[in-house]
Amino acid sequence: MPKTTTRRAMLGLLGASAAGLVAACTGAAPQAPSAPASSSSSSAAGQPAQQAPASGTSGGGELRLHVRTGAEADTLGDVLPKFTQDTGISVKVESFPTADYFTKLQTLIAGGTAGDVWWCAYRNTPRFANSNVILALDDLVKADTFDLSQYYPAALAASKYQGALYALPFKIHPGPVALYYNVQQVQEAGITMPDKQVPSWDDVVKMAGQLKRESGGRVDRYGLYEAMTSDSSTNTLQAVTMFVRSWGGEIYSEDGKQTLFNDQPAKDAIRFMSDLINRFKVAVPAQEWTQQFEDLMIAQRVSLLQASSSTKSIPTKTGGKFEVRNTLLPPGPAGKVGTQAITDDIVINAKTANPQGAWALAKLLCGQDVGVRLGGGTGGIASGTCGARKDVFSDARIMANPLHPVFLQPVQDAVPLRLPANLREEEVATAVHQTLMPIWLGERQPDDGFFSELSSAVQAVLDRPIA
Amino acid sequence: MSKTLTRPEAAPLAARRARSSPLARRRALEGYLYISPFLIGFAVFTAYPLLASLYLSFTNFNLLSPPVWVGTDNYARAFGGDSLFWTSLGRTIQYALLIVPLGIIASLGAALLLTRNLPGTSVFRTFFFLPSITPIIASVLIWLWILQPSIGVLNYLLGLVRIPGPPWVQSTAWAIPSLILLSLWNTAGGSRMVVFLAGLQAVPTELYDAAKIDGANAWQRFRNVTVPLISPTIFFNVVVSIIGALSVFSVAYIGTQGGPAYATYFYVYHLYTNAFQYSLMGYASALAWLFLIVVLVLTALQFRLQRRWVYYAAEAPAGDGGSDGV
Repeated sequence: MPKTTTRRAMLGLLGASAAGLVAACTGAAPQAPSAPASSSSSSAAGQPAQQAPASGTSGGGELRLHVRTGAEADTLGDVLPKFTQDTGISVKVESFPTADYFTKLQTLIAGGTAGDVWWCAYRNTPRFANSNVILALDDLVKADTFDLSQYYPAALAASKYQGALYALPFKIHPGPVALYYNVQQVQEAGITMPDKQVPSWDDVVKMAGQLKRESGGRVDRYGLYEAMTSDSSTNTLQAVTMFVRSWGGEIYSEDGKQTLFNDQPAKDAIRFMSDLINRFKVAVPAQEWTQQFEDLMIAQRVSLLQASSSTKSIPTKTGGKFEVRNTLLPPGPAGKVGTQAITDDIVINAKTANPQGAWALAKLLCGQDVGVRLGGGTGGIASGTCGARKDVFSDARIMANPLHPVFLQPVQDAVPLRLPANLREEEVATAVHQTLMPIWLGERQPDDGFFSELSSAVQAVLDRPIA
Repeated sequence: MSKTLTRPEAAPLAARRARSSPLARRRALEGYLYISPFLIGFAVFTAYPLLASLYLSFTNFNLLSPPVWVGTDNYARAFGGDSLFWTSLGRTIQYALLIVPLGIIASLGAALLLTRNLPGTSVFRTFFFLPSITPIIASVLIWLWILQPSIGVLNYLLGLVRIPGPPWVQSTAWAIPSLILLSLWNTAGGSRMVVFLAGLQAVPTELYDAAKIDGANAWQRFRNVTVPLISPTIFFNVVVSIIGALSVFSVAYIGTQGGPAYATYFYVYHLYTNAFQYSLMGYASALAWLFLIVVLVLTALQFRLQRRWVYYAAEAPAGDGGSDGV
């Protein structure tokens, strides 16, 4: 006779399962975050920056580190064991894909389970500082007599919020100021590319025209790819900022509360960007933009590529099919190349239980060794952008990359970024990217009416309360 | 004089006594314990997040600081301070107005083909259904390649017959039609077609025979026999399709990121952007609740209008004495 499960047994089993489930869940339950003093709608100006406590231990225990999946996470695998050996602190690396990084990070912060140290981008550091999520580092720097002079001034400026240092600069690049070129295609076209800098934008247009190839009414190869992609509003904003600054303008007023897209320099710059595509027809039209800068160049369908220092790693992707070199883009009518100090930072959780250990880790990540490794100076696949330090940029291993020297001066001269006063830079980038797209597609003309619309769209974002 | 309870009066009291007895209470408790896993899951994963989002919709919450109560500011902003709210709503309605009828027609057409018992029907049934079980990411990425303006297969084929192919997703005018094409491929042969198949197979064949005898041609049989009898199925598919069309998100998120120039900036994508890119959880929650209200109102409207065109074969016509049987 088969044995049946009685009702009591079933209920007992269910009860035991429920108890086990509850035990498992409550065992991993995060501590509820304590409410910070400020509300999200009020300025943090009157709030004292959260400074690290004077006492703390750096020996033993574990630190949790959040970074982006990819070259950065891979690089740390080489240096962290020594950190553990030296300090006795083990580091648990939790990496997230770039596309989801801040979503996951902010969810962890909301749940009170964020790590001790994390990678941060220039536009997010002020938001975290404003919400008192990250630690101000001035006291740690002072207590340690830490030398900040190796960091580029513009990188340090980007790591400050309302006068306090909230981050250590991790990486820096001056924006899309370089012109990468396919050496074989350029030589076949009989063009001699200048070593240091193209003299003028007229020369760029001329070269791009010479390099363009058409057959049967179809463009087989474009001359130039402007530094914009179909999916990234950040790339569009950085490319536009570069041109606008080259033309002597700015995107925002100095206080970050007004848009300057209706000013003449901005209009002229964007009109020129449009002319490259629609009038001179030498640049890749938006219909053919890809989701990665280098795709068309790797496919040898474009000869000149406007890009930043992350593209220094392009030789690892060409498979040796052709050689790539670079030079600096020409100055604009304002007599300068529009640089922008675009930085990545390392920040410390304001609620870390081990601020001294976290500080030691932050110093390591922003040190010369890691900075060189990030730039690929020690071999291996790297993103190309190196540490935000003078001793990294001039390191012999980095200088050995022929694609690197062109960035030395622009990084030195990089102008700090202006951000919206309400910290809604991502929303501004979306508004700029979406509103400008019909121009790149050739569906609209960049007339005064268009710039009024663009200004209104951006100003509507700037007028919103602080994020 | 004591009152004697008659049988009908005694029944409710007996029932109350039965319900309150220790045995009945224990049985009820056992029942709740058996369904407790579902109840707990529903409470934790559905009811609590719903109520939490309702609360958050009245706050400013950026994940980095605790929520701050702002009353109806988020709702006011949606209607008066956010131009993208109306843009996204307009794009979504535009998309829904096209995809719903086209999808219904395509699914019904596929189902009608499959009921004709032609050779290879079972193979075609599989081919029609396969796209609906293909992961949406794979579908979108493949279609992006197919629709690529200069090297895509579709424009190449159009070029062979001397038709200049449009820029598809890279054009503000063609972006929504491109996504509709993609969505139709993905959904025409899916669950909607299966539901239509079931509905068609339930139509009594003698009605077709009678119609043929009366001289009705194929179109007349379809219009006067098939459509009325599958009207409940059509109604179900319309309701589900409208909800699905208004909820469009994946194709825009993967394929176009709402562009170009907000051409595919759908409502749910706007909600997602506010929540997960801008970390405006309070405002996004308000958008979610507004969306729920819109869907509820539309669904209620459809249920009200169905009386005019949906024919349920089991309903007796008004004034008919019916047949109660002997």
